[in-house]
Amino acid sequence: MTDTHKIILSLVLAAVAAFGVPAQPETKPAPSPVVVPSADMQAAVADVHRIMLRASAVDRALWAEVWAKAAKTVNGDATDTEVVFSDTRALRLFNMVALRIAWRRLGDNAAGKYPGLSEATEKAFSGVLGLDVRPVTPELRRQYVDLCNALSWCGAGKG
Amino acid sequence: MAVLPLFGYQPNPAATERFVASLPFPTLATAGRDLVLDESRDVFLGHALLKMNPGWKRGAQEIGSCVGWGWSLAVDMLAACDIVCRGESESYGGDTLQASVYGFSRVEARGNKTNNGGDGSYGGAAAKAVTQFGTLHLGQDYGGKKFSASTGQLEKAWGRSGVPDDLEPFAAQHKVASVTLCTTAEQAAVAIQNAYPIAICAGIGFSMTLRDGALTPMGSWSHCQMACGVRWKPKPQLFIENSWGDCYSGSVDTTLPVQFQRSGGWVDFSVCTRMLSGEDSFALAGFDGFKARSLPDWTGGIL
Repeated sequence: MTDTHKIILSLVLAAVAAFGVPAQPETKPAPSPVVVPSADMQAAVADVHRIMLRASAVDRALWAEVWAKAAKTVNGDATDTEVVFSDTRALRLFNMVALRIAWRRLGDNAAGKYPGLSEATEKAFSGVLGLDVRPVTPELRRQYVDLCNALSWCGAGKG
Repeated sequence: MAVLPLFGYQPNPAATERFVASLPFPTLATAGRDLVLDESRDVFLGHALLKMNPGWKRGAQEIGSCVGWGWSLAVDMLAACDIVCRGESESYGGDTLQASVYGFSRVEARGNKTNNGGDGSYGGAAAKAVTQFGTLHLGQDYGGKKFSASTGQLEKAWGRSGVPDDLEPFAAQHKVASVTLCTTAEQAAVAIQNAYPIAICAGIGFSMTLRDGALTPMGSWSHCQMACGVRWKPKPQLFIENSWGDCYSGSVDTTLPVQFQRSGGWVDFSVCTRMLSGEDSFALAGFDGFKARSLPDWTGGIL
């Protein structure tokens, strides 16, 4: 080590001793904010809510995150320059991909782990959005986003 | 019911070879490198078909149009599997009109205007027909024309003069994306396990009496059938569906849906490989289906 290096190092150490280690930016991801659903939406997801109350804390948190992020992703079509989800088939495909990756693969949750969850979720979707293939209008998008947020709320242990 | 054992497979090895050479993935060995055979998993694709068409029952060909019948059922199984097994958001558009596959395979796919050379066709021509010309379906409205069944008369007419020009654009909307040559029972089994049916053109015949649902090889049939099942016990076998209605007598496999119990049977792998080694049998993949009118569900059974 040359004298110059020694001087620089001693100055750095002196600065750390005097002022402390510089604060690092917060890297811990913040959980998605929980949106409290309307009374109608709470009724639509009531069965999911009941089942999620019995779920493990880890699975509840994952469930809440999956649906919160689904809501945010689809809501992006309202402001993005390019629409991603043009009809209900695209939304269904997105549901399947999101659930397969997050719930099944990352969460290690086999189908049927929570009896009734599949039926309850299907009931919520078909009750709110129906099963018709139709274009995603702003109204339909808002309903989808509200439903996803309501499903997220079920996992967040609220209500 | 009296069974009329009609055939209609007229091999054309040179033409099939030319067609196969034109494929991007000529054989299952190249097309399905990632597919892994599971020697413990039984699969029967007929369940998917019955989910889409619960009233389905195997009909009986009336002329030597077995190539149209075998291939059409393979297309129907593929369409059903695309929806049921792969979760594609399509609707089942009705059974394939056998006369359309048969007519295309005899005339248009061979570059002909007419074909007055008796009845019959071959696998390579049918493969070209469904991938390049498409399929028509029962119950669909084709500019005021609807078909409720594929009759021998219709097959005879279209086998001579091809599918009418005004119907070709409709057929072109529903093609099979890809076909690939299948030459061994193991290749067929791995395709079926991945929900890809096999149309088989071969020369081996069978006894008409089932033994616990299994078929015994006997004599020669120049015939097109299709394979839609694989089982490993009591021994490795493929399920081969015929096109002669409920043609088989004897003891059936009661685990099968009743619609399949007497219209087809289980065949040993060694016999299947002999059938497939004729190099005119194909696995089908990717049916360009009908626009869905409604979604099957919202989460695809993942939860």
